[in-house]
Amino acid sequence: MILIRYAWRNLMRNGRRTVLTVGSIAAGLAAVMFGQSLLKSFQGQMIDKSTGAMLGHIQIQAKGVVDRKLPEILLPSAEPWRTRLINDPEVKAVVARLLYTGLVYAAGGSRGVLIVGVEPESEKTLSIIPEYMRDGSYFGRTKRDLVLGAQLARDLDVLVGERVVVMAQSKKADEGMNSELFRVAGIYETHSTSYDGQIAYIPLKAAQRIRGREGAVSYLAARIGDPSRAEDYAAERFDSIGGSTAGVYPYGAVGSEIVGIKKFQDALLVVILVVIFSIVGLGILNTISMSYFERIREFGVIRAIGARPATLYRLLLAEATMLGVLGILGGLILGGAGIAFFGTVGLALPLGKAMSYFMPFDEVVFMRPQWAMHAWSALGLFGVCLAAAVGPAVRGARLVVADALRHV
Amino acid sequence: MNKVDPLIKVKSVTKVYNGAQAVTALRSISLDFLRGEFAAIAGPSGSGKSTLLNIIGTLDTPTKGEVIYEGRQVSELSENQLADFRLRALGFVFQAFNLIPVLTAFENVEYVLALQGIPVGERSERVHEALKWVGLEAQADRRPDLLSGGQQQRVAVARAIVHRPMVVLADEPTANLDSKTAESLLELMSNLNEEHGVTFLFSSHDPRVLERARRVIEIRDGRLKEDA
Repeated sequence: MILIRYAWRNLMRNGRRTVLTVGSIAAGLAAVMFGQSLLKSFQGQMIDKSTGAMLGHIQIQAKGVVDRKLPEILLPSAEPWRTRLINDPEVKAVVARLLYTGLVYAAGGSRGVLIVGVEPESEKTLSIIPEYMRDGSYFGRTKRDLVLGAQLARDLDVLVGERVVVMAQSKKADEGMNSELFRVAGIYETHSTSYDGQIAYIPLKAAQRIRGREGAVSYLAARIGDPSRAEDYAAERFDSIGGSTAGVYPYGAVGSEIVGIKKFQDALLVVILVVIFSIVGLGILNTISMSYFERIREFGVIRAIGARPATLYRLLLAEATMLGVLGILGGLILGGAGIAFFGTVGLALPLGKAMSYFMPFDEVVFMRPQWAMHAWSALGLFGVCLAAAVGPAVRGARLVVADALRHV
Repeated sequence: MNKVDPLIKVKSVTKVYNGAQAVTALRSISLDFLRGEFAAIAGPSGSGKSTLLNIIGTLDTPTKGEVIYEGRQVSELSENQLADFRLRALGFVFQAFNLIPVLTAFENVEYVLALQGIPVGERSERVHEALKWVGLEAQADRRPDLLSGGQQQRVAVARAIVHRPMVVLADEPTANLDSKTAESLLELMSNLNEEHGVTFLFSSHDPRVLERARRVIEIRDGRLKEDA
């Protein structure tokens, strides 16, 4: 107990230095927590939006596909994969889609677009596009409804209720062009350049007719209960659900740019972590070293009256522990408060605007705490505090008593 | 052990400080100290008296020779054993008081007992007793910066005797004290020696200390000049 009292009072000898050190630990941890929360919330939105808009958490695609975003090998039918997926308790929603490039004609002109054949009712259980409807509805009652983005509607100069023609190359033996007339049922606006200006959704059966591939789909996309299990799920079910001609692929394998961005951000986070930990570590090392050099004579006295070398070691480690614990508590409070604030009011990021080119992406990120990561960071920072004290503590333990007593 | 066997035996101790130029601080000093002595090692500054006291106190090691406590050679002890030996067998009083500034007078004295692992209740009793001996019970809760030099040195004496060591080593204990305070401190140490049997060994060139000492060992240029 006297060791704790002694260590605490040692810290209070130079209160300003202690406050600054504790403050730097707290600020360091708060910065790390803030960075972790920001990036993970950003990544969370990126994954939610990209999987919700197009990818799903996993996809069933034909084996041998080269371009997994726009599979060139089609599945002849959504069955039996749909049945297998629906019967899997981890799967919450399943959709089948047929994707190909084509042209949309209207009175105002024509545009090359990505035609996406969808099953409207199934889509509502998985896709976030229905949430972005600006005009009209996400498909109506007719089999010739078409839904398109706001920018594409502007480019084609069409409004809800007006007619457009969808044309694409048939994959039947004659390789001719097929076209069909559609009515604009709805216009969505996600503020994503790609989605608003380059995609038109039509019913799956109509898409199959135009393509000349009745029943065929590009892939089946599914939403699973725990998105973080997407990779494991795909690996575990690759054969049992995929069968001999298809495979199960996680969203990371289809939208590889998401994985790339995530990896880059995670690496950046590690760099930030190392920099902050180094700065904090050096700060603590400085504090403990200064405190050590100021007290060499006192340490000599303590050793002279009978303290073992380990007593000095314990004393300096106790001081570092107190600095660490106080700093970490401060950091948790500071970081937690910052995250809670920006979790409520949101944080507008220019990066969000850049991301919206590729996918529907909200400019404002609402931060969420990542307690497991924060706890590891706090533990790591505590380790840095202790490690910074080891050098001075070892020097203290190795003091030659007579030399220390002569120290001025 | 025989009653006349020495408590401390200093045997042919030589100390050489190796620096840019080697300095021989002690040259083959041999001395015996008995239990209950009140002895002073005297000599001018640089004569080697503090070095000898440090070696006797196991704070420094001799280049040659040995120090034997009740037949036990201290050079054979490990660093931890030496610390334990100092903790139980020796008490120190330094010229500059050397109290721990963040601890109160009580805690400074208590620290030695805490290092020995003595329970809090017994510690408190013994600390109060030691502070009573040095007449500082009323100042127990004061930190060193609120005590006068004389009071600080009394606390240092209390710290040196609280664990009932076999010998108290005092290095120039009166050097930083005014005349009256020095007399009072010497009176205190003399009483502790006479009434409680505490063995005192001083290094000093203060005539007041030398007058009170019942044995004066004079050292000059690292050599034993006189032992009277």
